[in-house]
Formats: sequence, C-alpha cells, structure tokens
Amino acid sequence: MKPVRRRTLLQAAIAAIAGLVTLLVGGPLLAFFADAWRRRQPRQWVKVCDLAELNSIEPTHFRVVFKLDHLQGGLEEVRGVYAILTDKGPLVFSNVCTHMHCSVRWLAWRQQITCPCHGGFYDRWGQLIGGPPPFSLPVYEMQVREGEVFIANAYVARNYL
Amino acid sequence: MAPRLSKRAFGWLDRRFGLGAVLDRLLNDPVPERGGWWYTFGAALFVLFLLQALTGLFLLFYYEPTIERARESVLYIQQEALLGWAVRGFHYWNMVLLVALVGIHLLRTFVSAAYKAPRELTWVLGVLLLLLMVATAYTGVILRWDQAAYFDLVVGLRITELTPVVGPWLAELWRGGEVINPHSLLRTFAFHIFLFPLTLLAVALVHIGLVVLLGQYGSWINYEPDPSGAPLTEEQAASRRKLEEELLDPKSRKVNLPARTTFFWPFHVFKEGVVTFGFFLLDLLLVLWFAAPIEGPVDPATTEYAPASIWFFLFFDQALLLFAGTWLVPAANVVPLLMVLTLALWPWLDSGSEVRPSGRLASLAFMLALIGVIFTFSFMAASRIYNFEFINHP
Amino acid sequence: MEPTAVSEGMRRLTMGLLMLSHIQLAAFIIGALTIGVGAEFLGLILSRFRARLDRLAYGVAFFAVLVYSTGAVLAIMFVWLIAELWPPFWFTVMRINLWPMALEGITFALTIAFLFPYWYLWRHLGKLKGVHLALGVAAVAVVHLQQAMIDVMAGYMLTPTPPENLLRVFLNPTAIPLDVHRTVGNISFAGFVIGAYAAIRTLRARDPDKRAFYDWLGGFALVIGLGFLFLQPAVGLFYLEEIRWHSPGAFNSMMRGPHSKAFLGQSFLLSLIFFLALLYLAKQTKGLKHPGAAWLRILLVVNALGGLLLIQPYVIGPSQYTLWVRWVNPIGSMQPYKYLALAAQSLTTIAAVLIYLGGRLRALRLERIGQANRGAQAALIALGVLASLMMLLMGYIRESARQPFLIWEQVRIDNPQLFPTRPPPRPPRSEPPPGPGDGAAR
Repeated sequence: MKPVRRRTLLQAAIAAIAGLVTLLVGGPLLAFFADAWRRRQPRQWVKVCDLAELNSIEPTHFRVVFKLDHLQGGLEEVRGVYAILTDKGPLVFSNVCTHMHCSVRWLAWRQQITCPCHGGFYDRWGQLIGGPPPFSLPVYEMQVREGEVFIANAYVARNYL
Repeated sequence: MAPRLSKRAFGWLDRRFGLGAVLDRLLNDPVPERGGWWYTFGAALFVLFLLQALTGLFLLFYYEPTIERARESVLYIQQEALLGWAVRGFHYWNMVLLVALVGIHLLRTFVSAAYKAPRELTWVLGVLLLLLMVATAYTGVILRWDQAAYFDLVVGLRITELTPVVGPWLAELWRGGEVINPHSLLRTFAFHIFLFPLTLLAVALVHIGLVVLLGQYGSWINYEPDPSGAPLTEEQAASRRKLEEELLDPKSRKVNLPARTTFFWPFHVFKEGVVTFGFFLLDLLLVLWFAAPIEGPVDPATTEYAPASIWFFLFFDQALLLFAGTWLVPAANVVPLLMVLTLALWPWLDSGSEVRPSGRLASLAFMLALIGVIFTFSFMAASRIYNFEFINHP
Repeated sequence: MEPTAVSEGMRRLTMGLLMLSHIQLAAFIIGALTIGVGAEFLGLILSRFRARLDRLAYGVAFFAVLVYSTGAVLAIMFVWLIAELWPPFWFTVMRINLWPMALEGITFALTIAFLFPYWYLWRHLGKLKGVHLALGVAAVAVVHLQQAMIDVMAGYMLTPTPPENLLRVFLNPTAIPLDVHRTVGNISFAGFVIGAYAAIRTLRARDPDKRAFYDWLGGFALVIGLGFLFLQPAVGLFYLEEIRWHSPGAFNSMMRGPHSKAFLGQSFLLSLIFFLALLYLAKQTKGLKHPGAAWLRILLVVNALGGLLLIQPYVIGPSQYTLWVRWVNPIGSMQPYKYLALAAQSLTTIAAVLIYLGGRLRALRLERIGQANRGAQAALIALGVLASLMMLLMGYIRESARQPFLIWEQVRIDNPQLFPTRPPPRPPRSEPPPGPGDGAAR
C-alpha cells in the first residue's frame, strides 16, 4: 500500500474541521429554528356562548379567544366559530375554509355559508355543498356545562363529509 | 507641476490593487450596440433594488414587528413621521415597479434567446432572482399586519402546507407553531429584511458577474448585417477591435462577436442611466399621486372582509378556482412549482443553436401562452373580487 | 300606446333567428380577423412561411370586408326590432348602459375606419408592411373592444348591478368572464370554419400549388380551433362561477333545471368534434413511417371508446355512490363516468395535437403536402358544421338560462309593456358583528 500523501491527509483534515464546524453551528441553529415543532398549544376549554343563544335554523357567529401560554407573554389567539343546534345537541365548527383557509361567513339571503376567496359554499351545519373546497368545515370538540357551550382547541372527525 | 490629486490617488490604488485593469475590464467592456435600449432593464432592476433596500433600512427605524404594534407603527410612519408617507410610499411603489421590471427583463431575455449556451446558468439564476424578488415583496406585504396582510399570510401558509410529504412541517416552521402567533410575524420579518434580500443580492452579484464574464449577448439582431449599413464610428471600431482580441485570447470566456459594438462606459451606461431614471421618475409620480395602502386591523373572525391577493398573485388566485376538490387542492402547490421548474430549465428544453424567434416556435408559443394566461386570469380575478365585495348585501 | 300586435312566439322566433345569424357572422369575423392579422404578424417573423401566412391574411381580410355589412345589417335590424317588440326593456337597458354603448358606437366606427383600409390599401402600401400590420392590429383591437362593450351590456342583462354606479355597470360580474369566454370561442369557431373552407378548396383544387396551400391551411386552422377549444373549460368555469354567485337562479335553471339537457347536447357535439379532429390527424398521417402515426391511431381508438360512453343519452354503469367518496354534481345528468369519458377524449386529442406538431412527424407530413386524404377533408368539413352548431346551441343555452327574464329579476320577457320592477327587498340585515376584544356572543 502506498503511504498516504501528506497533501491528502491535510485535505481530509480540513474537510473534517469544516464539517465539524458546520455541524456545530448549523445543528443548533436549525434546532433553534425548529423549536416551532416542539411547541404545542396547550389543550384548553373556552366558553363560546350560552346555550340559549343558539337556534337550529341559522348558525350563529361567535369570536372565541384561546391562550398561547406556551409562548411567553400571555398572548391570545382569536378565532371565529359558528354554532348551531342539531338534534344531537350544539354543533360548533370552525370558520376556516378548507380550501385556502379564508374566513367564511353565513349569508342569510342565500341560506349558505360561503367563502369569499374562491366561492366555496357549505350548508348551515358546515357540510360541504360545492365549490373548490375539499372537505366540510372542521368541528370542534364541544361540551355543554351548565347551560354554557365550551369548546376545546381540537377537532373531531365528522361522520359525514 | 505635480500630477492632479485624483491621478495620484488612482495611481496609488492601481499599484496596490490593479484597479486600472479591473476598471478597464468592467468599463471598457465591448457590448452589442443595436437594440441597446432593450438591454438596460437589468441595470434598472439592480439600482432600484438598492434603493428599495435603502428605503427599507430607514423604515426599520420606526417599524415594530410585534402583532400588537405592527400596524400602528406603519400608521405612524404613514401619518406622523416627517415624510414617512414618502419613504413608505416609495418602498411600496418601488416594489410594484421591481416586480413588473423583473417580468419585462425576463421577457426580453427570453425573446433574445440570451439563455442559450453558454449562458444557461445566468438564466437559471435569473429565475431564482424572480422567485426571491416575489418572495421578498410578498413577505414585505405581510409585515403591515392588516386584514389584507393577515389573509395573504394565511393563504401562503396553506399553500406551503400543501407541499407533498413535508408540507405541514414546513408550514409550522414558517408559522412558528401550530397556529398563527407572534413568531409568525417575526419569522416573516426575518425573511423579509435579511434572508431574502441578502440572498437576492448575492445571487444578483453572481448573475451580473456571469454577464460580465461571458459578455453581454444582446439578441439575434446584433449578429445580422446592420440594414442601415452605416460605417462604424471610431469608438465602435475600437471596441470591436478590443472584442476581437478578447475572442482570440484562450483565457477569455466570451464567445460572441456582434456586428456593431460599443464601449460599456459611457455609451451603454448612459442608456441604462436614462432608463433607470425614467423608472425612478415613474416611482416618484406614483408616490406623489397614490398613497401606499393600509387596511383595517387583523380580525380572523371577520364576516365582512373579502380578501384579495396581491396584484402579482391575482392570476394564481384565479387559477386556484380550478384546484378544486379532494384530488386537485394538493396540486395547488405542485403545479406552480412545475411551471417554475419548466421556466428555469427552458435552456435545456430549447437547447438548439437557433436564436432567432422564427426558429423557436415552441418558445414563442410558450411565452405568449404564459403572458396571455397571466393577464387574462389577473383581469378575471380583479373583476371577480371587485364584485364579491357586494355579495354580503346584494 | 298599444303594444305591438305580434304574438310572443313570433317575437322570440324573430329575435332568435336574427341573433343567431348575426352571431354566426360576427363571431366569425372577430375570430377570423384575429387569426388573419396574427398570421400576417407571424409571417413577418417567420420569413419561411410568409407567403402562405400572407395569403391566409389576404383571404380572411377579403371575406371580412365582404360580409361585414351583412353582419352589421342583421345587428341593426336586431336593435330596431327589439325596440319595437320590447320597448321598456330596451329603453331601460340602453339608458343604463349609455357609456358602454357610446363606446361601442365609437369602436364600430373605428373598426370600419381600420378594417376597410386594411383590405383596400393592401397593394398600395406594398413595402410598408409595418404600416399595414399596424392597421390590421388596430382593426383587431377595436373589434375586440366593440365586443367587450356589447358584453358589458349582455353581462348586465344576466347579472345586473345598481345602475347608479357606472364602474359597477362596466365591471358587472359577468362582463369580463363573458368577454374572455367569447373571445376564446370566436377564435376557435373561426379556426374550425376556416378549416372547413380549406377542406372544400383542397378537394376542388386542380392546381397543385393551390392544393398544397389549402391542405396546409386545413391543418393550421384546425390546430388553432382545437387549441383555443381546450382553453374553454377553464374559462367557462370562471364564467359559471360568476353566474352561480350573482344570479343563482339562472345558474340553477341552466345547470340543474330542464334547460340542463342542452348541455348534454353540447357534450355530444364536443365529443364528435374531438373524435373527428383526431380522425383528421390520423388520416393525414396515414402511411408515414414514424411511430407518432401509429400512436395517433391508438389514441383514435381510445377517443372513440370515450366518445361512445359520452354520447349515451341514458345512464349505465356504476353510480356515484360506488365510485366516489363525495358526490357534488351541479351539472344535470352527467354521471361520473361520463366525466371520465370526456376527460379521456380531451386528453387523447391534446396528446394527438402535440404528437402531430412534433418536429419529425410534422416534417414528414409537410413533405407530402398537397396529397391530402379525402376522408380527412370530409372530417374537416364536418368539424366546421359542428362548430357552427355549437355556437347556435350556446346561444340558445345563454338565452334560456335567463328565462323568463330579459334583465335578471328585473324585467320579464313575457310582458313586453311592463316597465322594470326592482326585486323584492332582501331580508333585513342582522346586527353588526361585535368589535374586537369582545370575545362573547354576537
């Protein structure tokens, strides 16, 4: 075997040092940036409204505020929800369109929930009727506590699309 | 009598750094003469970009990148700070001009076939610059943190989320969490003021360096006999001799000899200066006539606001109507990526040596189709969005 | 004043006949002029094909000048008669669309000012091709603008906006989408009709030079016709979306109601068009030694199968519940597998056009230009007829979608003396949404 040339050895050493520095610098930096992947919004229950405010004919619009305690500073996250009474109790679903995430609104004169961005439309229970969106509006986990409607910041699966 | 101070200073620098040779290479570079006015857009882009960075720096002295204060700080700049409306206005309208100019420059380069060998890499870097410019403009709009900006961010995050396989993770990285939070604005801010502009500057310098290295190409017009038949002027003849010498030099990377050339300085620089100044004046007029927009505060629970995308994404917004249903919505990310890839790899799709448009029908058709679609879709999107404003209360 | 003593049936019949014949001429003129001037421009760039392209432009200009007056007379008769037969409607719509119609009148004059010199000064301008082309481009631009202004009014009839706001009248929801849809349709229609004319001339030509020209023209026009036809689904979708949003009753009547059967007719015509176009391409490349020619035959078979599925008037095959997870179908009785069949036909035709235009096969085909296949020419003639039928059917669909209104929900067609009534007031607005920081009920 030919003895390794000094040049090759030194080149390998330089490569190793460069690689080490890249790892030592890049690794922590990437981990720092990817801290986002670790941060989960803590599960919380928030009051939406009183049960008496809901009806079964039209969805009613509410603003709910979730806390972002996992980020320092006691910050808040505002969401819009629609709530309607069904024969299985109140149904609370998100106002975020499943197409491009714009905020939908109920149009009484059309009797549909519609998205202003690309014209997707849903019925009064948030089920998809037509337009570009792929799915119905996501439904929140919901509890009724003493005549008040609470939701968690988690979705349940719809058993109808 | 001792030589003038400037001459002595120049001599000092030349003896240490070879300044003379560098300046000679850059300034006395022979460039194609015919159609020269069409080859000025790149320079206009570079200068206007530097102005953009400058105004951006000064806006940094007042802007606060927090969710609570962002919009108010922008309002402060717009209404309270002395000439704040001008600085912000210039930053906004310059953005419009920059994006439009990138399109014009791309079109000119494409039609001239200046992406053919050996300039393929210049073209690819150019497409990268287009993406970076658009990304910088887009992230800049988000910093306003008004209703329009918020929904621009929401849709951008959604499209990122639709990337196959890694989408949700990429979106979380940008968003800084599962839901939009103060980190979202901060990360967008970091992208806008540091990551994208500096990358843009670096890539632009390499792009310009390649143009200087390989010689400016011009277009096929420059390599046909000049129909006017006018004799070469002294400067033109001198520049042509210089270019012929360079072509003989084995170390030079230049490959083209136009029929009529001129020196870069001051002939071409003059044209570039005039065009740049013209766009700058247009900028000023726009700033004086129209205020940079700002809308209401962010309200994700709105039932009144109808979001409209940024003007340079209107055509894509209209195309999103076609990405419908379970099967096609994921394609909303893939299809644009494929189109950008096609654009970037065009030198290899049209790799023949034919440079005249008459021999490149496919290229012509591609570009005409692209422009046609962009303009038509943009107008349709504008009409659709304008009329949807009234949908709540018909 | 007494209403005109003409029965409703006669009114609608007269209008229908006038309108449909006007559209055949006007749409063809617009589309053909665009193709012709475009060809002249291409001829300037592609000097190799300049002779042929100039000849096409010359022929188109000749025909446009020939029939322009006829088309205009039909339009004027239409304008005059509708004022007689539905005066309040016409008065209303003309009053509201004052500025669009004023602009249309100006562009009408400008079209004449540019089109006739474009034709008559052809020889006179001789070497000044640039000036001639400029005249042509100007003519095309103003004729498109003329159509755009008419489309503002036509759009207003379907999706009316508050007349006080001029900008909203101009930018009424269906104005731009209709104009884009029509422009694309006109060019496609003109392509097919020019192709049919070229086929007839190819069959009748004795002079080999003439036959070569018309043979080339048939293929060229067909590719244009098909190319723009492929754009229509996307453009049509955009138009439909606006109708769905702003005149949902018209959308329902057109897509779900009794009139939706007309779209089955359209899909039938479309299916035939795709098949015959592919047949033309396959026959014209018959016998050429190139794998592309074989591929065209395979695509033709797949296309035919798709067509057979698509044109069935009755439903067979799996239903929506067994094939799809989600059922959303606003379009009449197009069962899901019919969509697949349509997609198969479209994709095979697109692939065939791309193969046909591919370098080597095209070169081989051009070598034997003039030896046109007779069956292919017959297909081309049929294509022209089909495109014409499609335009007629589209006109019928358009008008019936708006029934029984002339201006949607404001002016009815069945009582010509009724002045417009505004639609009933909308239900009262709900309370305004809460301000920020409220966090509670609305």
